[in-house]
Amino acid sequence: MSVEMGGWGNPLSRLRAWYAASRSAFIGGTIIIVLVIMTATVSLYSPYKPEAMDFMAPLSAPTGAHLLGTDNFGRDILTRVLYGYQISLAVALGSVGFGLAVGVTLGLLAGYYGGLIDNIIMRPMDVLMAFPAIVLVVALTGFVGREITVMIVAVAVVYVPIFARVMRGSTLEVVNQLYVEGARARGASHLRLMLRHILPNAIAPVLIQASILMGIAILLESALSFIGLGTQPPDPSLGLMLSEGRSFMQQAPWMVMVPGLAISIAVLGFNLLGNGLQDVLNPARKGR
Amino acid sequence: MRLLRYIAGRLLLLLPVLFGTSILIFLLLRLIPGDPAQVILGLRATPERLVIVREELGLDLPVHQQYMQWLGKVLQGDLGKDYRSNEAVTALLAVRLPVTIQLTLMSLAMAIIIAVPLGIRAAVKPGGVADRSSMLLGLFGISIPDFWLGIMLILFFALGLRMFPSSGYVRLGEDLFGNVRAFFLPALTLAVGLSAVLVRMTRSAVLEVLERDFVKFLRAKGLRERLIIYQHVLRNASIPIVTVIGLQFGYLLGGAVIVEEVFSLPGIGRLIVSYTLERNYPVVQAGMLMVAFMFILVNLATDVLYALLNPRIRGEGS
Repeated sequence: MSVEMGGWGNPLSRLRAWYAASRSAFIGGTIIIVLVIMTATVSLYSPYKPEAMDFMAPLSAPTGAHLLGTDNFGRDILTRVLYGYQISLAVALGSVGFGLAVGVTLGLLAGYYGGLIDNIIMRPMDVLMAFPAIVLVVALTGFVGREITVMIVAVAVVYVPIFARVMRGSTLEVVNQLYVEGARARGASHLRLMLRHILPNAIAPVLIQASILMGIAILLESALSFIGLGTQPPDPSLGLMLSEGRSFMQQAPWMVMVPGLAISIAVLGFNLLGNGLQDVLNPARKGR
Repeated sequence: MRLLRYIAGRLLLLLPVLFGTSILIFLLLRLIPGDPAQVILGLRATPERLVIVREELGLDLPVHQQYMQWLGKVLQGDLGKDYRSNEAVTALLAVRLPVTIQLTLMSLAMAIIIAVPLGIRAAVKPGGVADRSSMLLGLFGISIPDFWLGIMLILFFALGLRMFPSSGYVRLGEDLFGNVRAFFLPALTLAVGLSAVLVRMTRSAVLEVLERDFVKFLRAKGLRERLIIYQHVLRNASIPIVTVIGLQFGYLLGGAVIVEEVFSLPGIGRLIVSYTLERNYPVVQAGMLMVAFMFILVNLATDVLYALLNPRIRGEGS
């Protein structure tokens, strides 16, 4: 499933090769890397703290001092957006990581063994998939609590059946290939067959899905915070900022425009990356 | 006849899924900490009163007995009572359900009107204006959060241009025009995300059919291009399109939760959110069951439509 292009040449030519392989993946990947770096280092360069209020400048329009304006408490919106990304990305990474670990394991087992084990694993997954994601997540966070870990687990619960289904499908495609048969004939154990021979060859579609689900996790986190079931004030979450901004949207439209735009950019990055990976990893287009 | 058998088989398959769904909803709400008796009594709670209320609600029984009791009542059409107002949950749902259904159907219609013609044009003329706009719609439609889109639409069309109300609900029977105006922006908000998926699917399905031999034959025969597209190609491309519409219905139901909140529409979604916050189990249970039921029903309808459009599938009926 590797995407390596042309060995260990100089960095510039490797970048160019990536760009040539998929413009979409390149742009998406760049957006994400820039966001991650800006977000991780925000405390180093931002002149403001996310909770610092400036009562001299509430609802200030974008100016030199506050590049994207301030909110009703005079807090710097750009700073809050960058801190808000930390929560978005943490939920995205956590839920996708968790969902991947459990979903891939279940899907691999179901696809490899088939029969009864397949049914025992996949039928409960069908039931989980009978709920719209947001309804399940609302119920989980609404009752359990609004900490970030609960959000991560709630989103992961939605993701496990998706990953399991995709992994099972691609395992089924690989499991009867000759090289698997060969390894089996040489006496490889079930575990070895699954981990060494099937997993690496069946994981590509799962990774494409993972990229897109990262974006959806960001949407879910902000949606939850927006309706009051996610991040709680005064923490800066993009969805929460958006919901707080609603009361002021006529005087200070930047309060709703900026956080929404910020969510869209991050999600767009992951979608572009996912689309690009699809182009690169899709066997039909591999032989170009 | 085979079609009927196929539908019967699909209906039978529904039962275990519905059963599993009801167990999941029930367990989900029981496993989670929180005592409804405490919620009902609030500050008036004393240990004795708590015991009495728990007994009244059947909460002192083991979980499996509670479930059987609940299931028995649900099968008789009794979804329980709202803890706070003591109103029957069925009455509550009867008021809320039409709002969500109207919202989802209107946005479905809008999405089809936007996406299908655009997707066809995009496929017929690759690289043209329609193709480019379908790519943009496909990408941005799934990246922009629907609640933000809703707020932006309110900002421009309701508060700015004053073309639509910014929130509120008008009953269909009361004032048809007012009702459509109230639903227009929320339905459009939901429709954008759906049409993003739909336009891509339409485009690739039509492209795929256009490459088949029978299309070349029809062209060679001298049939008008319009006729080829709308009579022959579209019919063959309709299967994946219908499937996507069905699969995306779940997205609509989920999106309705958020969009109802943004536009203050009193539908099922807002019901689930607000009653979850106050731990009103019977209402949340019934609301979630209703949503899952609608979702499963739409999936079934999709499968049946699928079988109608493609006779080959019926033969394989599992």
